[in-house]
Amino acid sequence: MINVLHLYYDLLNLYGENANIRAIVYNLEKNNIKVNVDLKSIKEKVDFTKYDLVYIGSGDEEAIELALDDIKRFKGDLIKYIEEDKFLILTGNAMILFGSSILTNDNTEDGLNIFDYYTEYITSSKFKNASTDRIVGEVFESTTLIKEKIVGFQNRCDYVYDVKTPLFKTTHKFSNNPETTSEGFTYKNVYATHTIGPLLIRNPYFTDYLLTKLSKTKKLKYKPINDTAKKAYKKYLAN
Amino acid sequence: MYRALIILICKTVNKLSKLTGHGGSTIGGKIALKLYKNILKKIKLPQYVIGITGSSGKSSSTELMYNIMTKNNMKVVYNKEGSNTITGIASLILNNSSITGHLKADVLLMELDEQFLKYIFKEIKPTHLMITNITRDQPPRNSHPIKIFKAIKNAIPDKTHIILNVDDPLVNRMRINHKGGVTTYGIDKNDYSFKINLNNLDAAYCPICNSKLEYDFYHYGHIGSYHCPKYHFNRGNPDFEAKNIDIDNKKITINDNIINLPSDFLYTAYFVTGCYALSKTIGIDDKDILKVLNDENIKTKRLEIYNFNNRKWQLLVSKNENNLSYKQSLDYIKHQKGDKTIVLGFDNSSRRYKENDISWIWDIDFEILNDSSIKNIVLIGRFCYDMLLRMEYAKIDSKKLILVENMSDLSDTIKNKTTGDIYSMNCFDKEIEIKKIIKGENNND
Repeated sequence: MINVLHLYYDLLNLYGENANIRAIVYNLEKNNIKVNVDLKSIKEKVDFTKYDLVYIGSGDEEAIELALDDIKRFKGDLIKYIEEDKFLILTGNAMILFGSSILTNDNTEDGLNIFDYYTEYITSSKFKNASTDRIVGEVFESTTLIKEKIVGFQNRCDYVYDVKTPLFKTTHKFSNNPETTSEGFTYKNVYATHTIGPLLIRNPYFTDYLLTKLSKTKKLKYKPINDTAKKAYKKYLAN
Repeated sequence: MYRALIILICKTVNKLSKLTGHGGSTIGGKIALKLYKNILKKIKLPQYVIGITGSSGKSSSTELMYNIMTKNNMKVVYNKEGSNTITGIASLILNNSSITGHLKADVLLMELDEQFLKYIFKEIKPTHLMITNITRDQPPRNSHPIKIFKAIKNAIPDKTHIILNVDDPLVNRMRINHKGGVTTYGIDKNDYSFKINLNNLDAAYCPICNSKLEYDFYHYGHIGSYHCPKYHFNRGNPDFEAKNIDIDNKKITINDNIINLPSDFLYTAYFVTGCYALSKTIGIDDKDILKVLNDENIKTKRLEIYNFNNRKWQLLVSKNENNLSYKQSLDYIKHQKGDKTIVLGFDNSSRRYKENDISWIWDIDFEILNDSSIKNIVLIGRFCYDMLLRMEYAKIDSKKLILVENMSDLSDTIKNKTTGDIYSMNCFDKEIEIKKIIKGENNND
């Protein structure tokens, strides 16, 4: 049995991100591994010791602020969870919650400060020649974890600085900030990327990597399935 | 003097543009604004300046309002061609103005793009603004619903009377601290009201105290009847509420008056109720509204129905990147009588931009297609495998799913491997190909 927590499921869920949980359940169940998914959000009690994998998705600027206020009560629990090598998967702007600070349009807010990186919103005052306050577009990335490329989409309003251990390297478009090609963040079993949406649906090889590793920690056997997701992935890259 | 010259230039440019075969609905306005930035401020506008905006339903609403007002002897100028940006609106106003700078009409009626309100309302102040809904819609352009909410909220002038669909908490939020008049509308619970099965609801929390909103019922997505558990914010009883909603038989009741809907889509109940509320707000009597709404000849957006190999083939507009509109079309198909084959798929997410974000297909409740009347689902287009995967995740019987990678196989596949009436919902480029296939089949007979 693998226990999964979808944290802020009703708040940080833009861009079809419920599909990441579905991809985890679908692939584990095909391997006859039982999965339990709990949905938790603002003000609810959470016992992190129960979980093997925690997922948080992306949200609008109001939602991320609401989540930031709420998640601080878990700081100690989260540090313990991460240090025990448990899995934390973050897509979109969820990663900014775990950094040291967030410079929004109006002020600077403290992050969870579990990791050292920090975030700046893209504002016209800071980036005088920016035509927009958002970054939007398809992305292609590489990683040392698997040989296949990562594909995805970004739609965000911030840059992340001072990441020393990035998860991916962008080969096309958006990285953590314009001065680097590194994207996302990784530490132990924390996998954070600014790519939004159904990351684990669109990148079946990356999903296999994560679930193989996760299953091993539970002494369960995971065998990648050859399914439609891989055909969709190949067709997308072929175009 | 200069004003007169600019008006003349705008009219002439638009006429020339039309004569040379161009659309011509924005170019004159573009040049006029270049030459005289504040020209619109110098035009004497009519008593009613009405805007209609929202993520979906604004074209249908504007068209129906035009009918209600003109059939009641009001002279209405409106952007029928749908140029809803600042240059389109400038063209519209200047084309219909005398050279002395008077807009010659009783009403200026505008369908407006949410992102352009801030530019348009800087120049002209609307007396009334109707907001239909705020949903996930073209995220590469609109980011997310809160961004759309803010774009509208920040643009509304203090004195504008706003007409709000309060079933949508994001629209209802417009009234917080609004200084002008507020009229509300909504629709009662009906056969189409379901809670979506996916965890992707927007606006789940109270905008005042951040408590989780409690719902009495959902119509679709985050739209329904809700209240804050601490009583800070709620849908309440709308000023105009459609009751006895019978979508399949195209009937609703507002203020005890029975109204015939123009089609059996849920969204028609919304735009009819919205137009009713707006019409009453500007002083049109019930009987004068009803005579137009119940006129058999007023039909909006006719459906395209063809014959294909002695089967009915109906083409629906695919609202890519708007999960709730897309879902309503699926609901419509499911509610039709008889066995069905559905053709889905797309080459591009949008016709407005080249970025293909396919996240939105995971925000649509395709699970509802698990229905015994749906015999086959045919998947086409560049993203056919993504669509097939989505259907597999929706646990649709694999025997019903047919993948057609090559469009030249579509005709034979549908003829030989599927049954029932055909419903297709595809992107614009695939729609052109489908029409050719239908035409080719009919020419062979």
